[in-house]
Amino acid sequence: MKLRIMLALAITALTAGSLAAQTTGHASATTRDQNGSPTLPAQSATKDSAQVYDSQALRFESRWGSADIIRGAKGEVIGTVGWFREFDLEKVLQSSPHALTEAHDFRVNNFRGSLVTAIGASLVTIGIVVAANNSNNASTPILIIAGAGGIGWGLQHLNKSYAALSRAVWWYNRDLSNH
Amino acid sequence: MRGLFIACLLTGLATMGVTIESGGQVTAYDEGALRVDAAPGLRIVRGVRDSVVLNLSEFRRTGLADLVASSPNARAEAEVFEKNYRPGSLYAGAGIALFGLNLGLSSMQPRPGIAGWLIPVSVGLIVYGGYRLQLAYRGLQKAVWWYNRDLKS
Repeated sequence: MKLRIMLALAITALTAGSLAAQTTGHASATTRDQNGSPTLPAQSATKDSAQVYDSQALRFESRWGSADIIRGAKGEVIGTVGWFREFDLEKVLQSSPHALTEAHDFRVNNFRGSLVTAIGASLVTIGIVVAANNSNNASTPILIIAGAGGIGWGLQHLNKSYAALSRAVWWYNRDLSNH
Repeated sequence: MRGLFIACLLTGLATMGVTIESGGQVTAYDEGALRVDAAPGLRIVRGVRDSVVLNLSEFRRTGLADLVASSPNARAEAEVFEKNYRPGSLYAGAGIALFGLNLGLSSMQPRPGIAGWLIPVSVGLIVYGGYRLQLAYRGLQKAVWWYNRDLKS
């Protein structure tokens, strides 16, 4: 009885190891030869992955309140987002579900942030102009304080939006490498 | 018989161990890829777990170049970031402070003569600081991009 149990356990252990190796995929199973150096299929896969990344991976670069979306190592600008721009980022990132969710967050927060920051800046400017004209107007401090509050709230949302954009690009590049 | 059982068990466990180790290469991006997180403050996070690996301080050397040292291109871009981030923050900060000072002075009657040149100086500092910060952020994004790219090669 003990013998059967031992045999069953041993076979289970071997099968588990074998199954784990299969489910991880051929790439990982053939990654290294006996000397620990990458084998040809693994080298090829790595090279392909790097080439895909070189040509397709995205990043963004900020530019005075907007951000250029840039593709690949050559730095091709495929669009500009932010400050009421109409570029459809979600369409670009649609191949990655996670990236799409983050892109949606980016769009919502960026619009709110841009709108409220612009209103806040306008209020501050009006307040400064009124104060500079030596007008004894009680609304001046209210305008400046309300405007500064608006700018603060808007910048917080803009900050959130760029954090979401960063996550979106990360997920897109991640899923790019898994395809 | 017990020896055979232990041998089989160890073989199975070893196979699983090797599989997990080699599987780590498939998920190298998941585990090691960096990302810039903008809230709260600027920081670098790693992997799907978003573990914070670096907080980017405006007032001292950040150590970004050391973090991405395994990639030569990333290191070069990180140096661009290091070179511009602190000066940009300081100039922009000084400009904002002067702008605030101008706001305070503008409410005084009569208005001090110094208030006349505070606005152009503060705007100039903010613009110049913003320009340096943009150079820094570009360097940062490129550094992260190259680092993540070289994770695959």
